[in-house]
Order: sequence, then structure tokens, then C-alpha cells
Amino acid sequence: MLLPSQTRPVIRRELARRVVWESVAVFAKYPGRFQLELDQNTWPAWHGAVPVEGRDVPVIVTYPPAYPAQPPTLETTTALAPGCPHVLGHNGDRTILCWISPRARSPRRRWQPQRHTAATVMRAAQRWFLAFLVWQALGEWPVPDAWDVEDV
Amino acid sequence: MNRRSESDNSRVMVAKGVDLDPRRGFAAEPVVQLGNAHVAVLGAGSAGAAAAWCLASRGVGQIDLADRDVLAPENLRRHVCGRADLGRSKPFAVAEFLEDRFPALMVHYAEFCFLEQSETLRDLLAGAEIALVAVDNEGPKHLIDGMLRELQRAAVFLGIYGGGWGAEAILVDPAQRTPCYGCAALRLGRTGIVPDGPASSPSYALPSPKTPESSELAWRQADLGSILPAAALAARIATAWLEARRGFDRPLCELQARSVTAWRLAFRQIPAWNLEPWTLDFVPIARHNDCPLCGPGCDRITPDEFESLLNHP
Repeated sequence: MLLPSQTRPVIRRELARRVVWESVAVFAKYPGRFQLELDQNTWPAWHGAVPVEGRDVPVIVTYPPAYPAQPPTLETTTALAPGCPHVLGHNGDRTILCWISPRARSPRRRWQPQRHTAATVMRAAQRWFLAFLVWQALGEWPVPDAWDVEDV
Repeated sequence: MNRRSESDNSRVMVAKGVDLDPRRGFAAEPVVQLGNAHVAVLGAGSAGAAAAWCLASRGVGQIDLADRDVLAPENLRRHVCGRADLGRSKPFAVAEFLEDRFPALMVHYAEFCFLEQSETLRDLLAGAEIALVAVDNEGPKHLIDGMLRELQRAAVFLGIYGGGWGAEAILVDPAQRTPCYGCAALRLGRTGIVPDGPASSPSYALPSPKTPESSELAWRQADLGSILPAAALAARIATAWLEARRGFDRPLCELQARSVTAWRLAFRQIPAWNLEPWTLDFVPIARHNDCPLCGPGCDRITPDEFESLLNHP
């Protein structure tokens, strides 16, 4: 017998609790910079900006439905130069940034639900944009690509 | 105590006329019927299917099986299903395998990705008394962990590691206020989630040394010699939990001596775990103070705070 499947687009209670728990880290690391909103698909997302070399870069950190089993997604509304590496795609006027190694072998590069929060992603956004500035100036991404690193 | 002294001890006891029959102490125990027990087995791979077989054999009355995969030729070496099931959904094939052997068993199956259809997963957990989680990847385990707390459901998480030379089982029971899977995973050295992980993650399998013939990295996978005892351990923990719920808690108390909620099973000498071959280690797990699921501060967070956070200026 096939089990019935239901669709219920509501935020799970334990996810809501987790977001509240993470908000402490977000407000501590980025005071006054981020606001929690319900995004397009009714999923909670942090909207705000991270400081990078003296300017504020807008970023959106969205919790996926399966959070924390999957890491949050990182997007920006800043226009990026064509051919910019480490971009996963586009979502309307947003650019989806690749901030975590998708097949990391080293535990250090993996998503750790017990240790990482949305604030971790915001910190990664800062690093991403610093690397972006270097790439704009020198034409090379300063962080080695995860695919090239043999880190077994 | 080494083997020699154990042997000496047995001889002394026999000489003194002590009854060494292992049945002693169990004869007076009640037989707990599990015909009304309902278990969700999440992951119908080789370990999940073997654990479901153990549960059905013990007399569990209802089993829900879920997995997203279909049976592939490389699975045949260690899966309960055979060539006739190639290409079929694993939970469906395992459901048929069980129905064939246990006519009274009520088996449901569902074929879906836990991460993509989290609501279906939630419904499965809500409907069962306890879940037995036998999935390869860490991601779904953390998702299930959160749902268990919300639904106040228990689960046994099973993992086989190091190419099959070690296995772990973790009991999470929010009603008993056990530490969550996340805290156990940290204590046991599980190494986080690979968002787009390969089928054979390094923590699950063992890298083979490169040979002159092949420079490709190959993975040595567990075989049935490890999968069957590991699955049996997880099924034993689940049935002990079910029996405790029905008033007979001795097997669970034996397993949970000193409030232990995790067990390591070594099939070889494992220096990293400090275990001898074929030993079961009782591993105490402590809650992390800042754990988002079971830490002391979590109970103070109410879902209402989420709504007020949305209106935060």
C-alpha cells in the first residue's frame, strides 16, 4: 500500500525555534544589519548587507525547507560582472552565490548543523565578496576551488 | 579480565556446581507482544532492509519503509532483495520481501527524497511509535532529529563506518530527554554534511590504496558480515524500547546502563575507538550547552518568538 503524501507549506515548529536560536548569533555578529523576512516561497530569509572593504553589499540568506539538513542559500542583488566565477545561477534579480564546497571531503569544509548558523553564511558572504574584489582586480579567484583540492 | 582468567573462572564455577546455562534468568520473563507496534524504517538499503527483517521477525505488527532509491546491480551483493527486483524501488521490493515471509505483517512503503519532501517524512514519523534510521548521508539524519523533537517521537540511528569495520547506533528519545542526534554526532566524530555528497562518503566507506594498475580512488564498502550484526543491534534497541513502552523495561535498562544512549560495535580492533574485535562499547553522550535542539536554553524558545522576530525593527 502506498502511503499518502500531503503538502503543507508551513514552517516547521522546530525550524522556527532554530531560527530564533540563530537570531542571537546574527544580531551579535551583525548588529542592526539584518532583518528576518518571509521570502517568496514563504521561507524565512535574512535580508541585509555585509560590510566589505568599506561598502555595504546586500545579501539574502534563505533557509531551505530541509534546514538544517541542507545549508542556507546565499544570494545578492548586487550586479556582478559577466563571467564571474563561483556563481550558481540567478533567481529573478538575485544572483545565487556558491559559498560552500558542494562535495567537500575535508570535515572542515562541510556544513555542521551543530556549529553553523545563518551568521556563518553571512561571514562566508564577506569572504566571497573579498575574493570577488581580488578577482575583479587581478583576474584570479584567490581561494582554491574545492574541486582542485585533494583533501581526503 | 583476559580470556585465560575468564576460562579459569568458568571452570571454578562449574566445579562449584554453579549453573552456567544462559537461559537462567530469562525463563521467568514475560513475552511481550509487539503485534500492535508500529515502526518506521527510514532507508531501505542493505542495513535498513536487514533491520526491517529483524523487526518483523521479532513480531512488530506494522512497518513503514521509505527510501528514494531503486535497487541497482551493485546493491545485490548485500541486499535482501535479488535480481528479480533490479530497477524496482527499494522500499517496494523490501515490502514484498517482508510480506512474503510475514503474512500478518502490515507493510507500507513510500518512495521519496527525505530532503525534498520533508512533509511526507514528517507524516511518516508522526504515524510511527519509533523510527529506525538507516540512511547513508548525514543531512537527513539532522532533519529527522529536529522532527523527532517536535513530534516527541523516538528513533534509533544506525551507521556503519570505516568500510564496515565499525558500526554505531544512537537512541534519541525526546520524551526521555536524551541528547539529540546532533550532540551524539559531534561526540562520535561524525563530520558534518556534504551538500552534494558522493554516494560513498569517506566516513561511510574506506579508501582503497591506489595500485599501479589504477590511480583511481576506490572505496571499500561494508559487507553482510558487518551489516547484519549492525542492523540486528539497531533492531534490538528499537524492540527493547517498544517492550519498555509496554511495561517490560529490563532489556532497555540493560542497554542503557549508566544512561548510555549510543553504542559502538567493533568488528576489528579499532585503535581510534580503543576497542577490541567484536566488542560492544557503551558510549555516554552529553548535551552541548549551546545545542539548538536539546541544549538547556532551547526549552525557553517558543515558536511565538519567531513571529515577533519577523516584525523585528
